[in-house]
Amino acid sequence: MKLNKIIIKKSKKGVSIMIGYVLLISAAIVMGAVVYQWMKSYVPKEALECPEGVSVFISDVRCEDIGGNLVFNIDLKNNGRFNIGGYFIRGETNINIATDLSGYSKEGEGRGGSVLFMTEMKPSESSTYLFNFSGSAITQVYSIEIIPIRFQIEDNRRRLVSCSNAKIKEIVAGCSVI
Amino acid sequence: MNKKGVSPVIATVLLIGIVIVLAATIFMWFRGMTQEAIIKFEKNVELVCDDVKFAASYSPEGVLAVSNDGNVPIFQMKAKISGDGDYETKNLIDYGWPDNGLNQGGIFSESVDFVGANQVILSPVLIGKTEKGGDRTFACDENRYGYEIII
Repeated sequence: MKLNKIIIKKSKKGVSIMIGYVLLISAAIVMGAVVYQWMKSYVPKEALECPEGVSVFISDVRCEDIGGNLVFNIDLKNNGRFNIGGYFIRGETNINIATDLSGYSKEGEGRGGSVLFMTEMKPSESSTYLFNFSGSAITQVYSIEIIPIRFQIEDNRRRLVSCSNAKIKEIVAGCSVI
Repeated sequence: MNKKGVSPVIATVLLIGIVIVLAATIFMWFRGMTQEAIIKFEKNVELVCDDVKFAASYSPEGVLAVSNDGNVPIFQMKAKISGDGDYETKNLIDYGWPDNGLNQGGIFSESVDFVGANQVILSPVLIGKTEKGGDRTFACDENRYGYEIII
């Protein structure tokens, strides 16, 4: 009987408390690292976005018929709180419901679908941009749509950012050549 | 003598070993069941779908216009065309969608025949990198990111 009691007592020993803690903490750390590695791509990061106060305003659009070719001038004003580096411009024309008009301006020629300013347009500044459709099939513009562009430093890189929240659309009446 | 069995240290080592092997097996099995993560702009492409911004219109003459207003290039565009009781899915790459995708500010404007359709849902397809470094496309969920055009 005495011998049996001693054997039972011995087998209850198990792992020491200290080793138990070490094992538990290591297991938790390893599990945490594995789950983090697996799920880290789901951690949300800030998207490339324009600040809230970006805004442009088309103060005037003047259409002209120069020798049977359509030419129009847009007076654009920066009425926001931030500098603007350029804009995307599209129009509804007689050739298509959505035409990229940037290639018809001096500032947008060969710029890959955007009009880029030589120097950024500061708040309250305004400027006139000429679009010349000579040599193209565009004889009428029904509406124009402008999305301002900003250049922002993200991760030490200068990035072009489209400000879709500041998109504006203007219906252009009587902008055609016969 | 025969009642001695395994020493507590060996038992612990065995126990831990079995647990680790089991955990690794279950992890590898579960990993095979889940989709490999596609990374774009240093985050999972599923999150990038939130940042995609585009507008679309369809003219009575049958011209579909899509403009990329956001800052995420749209690699491809899927169109779910619903008619009377059925639907089919087409990729706009068959209708002249740019091979390299529609970049920031880009416009796609082509004749697309949606004969017999009364509703079209456009959903973007993005391209990203897998953990192994290869390119892989990901179609954003049409229920969350689809753009509906009523014809």
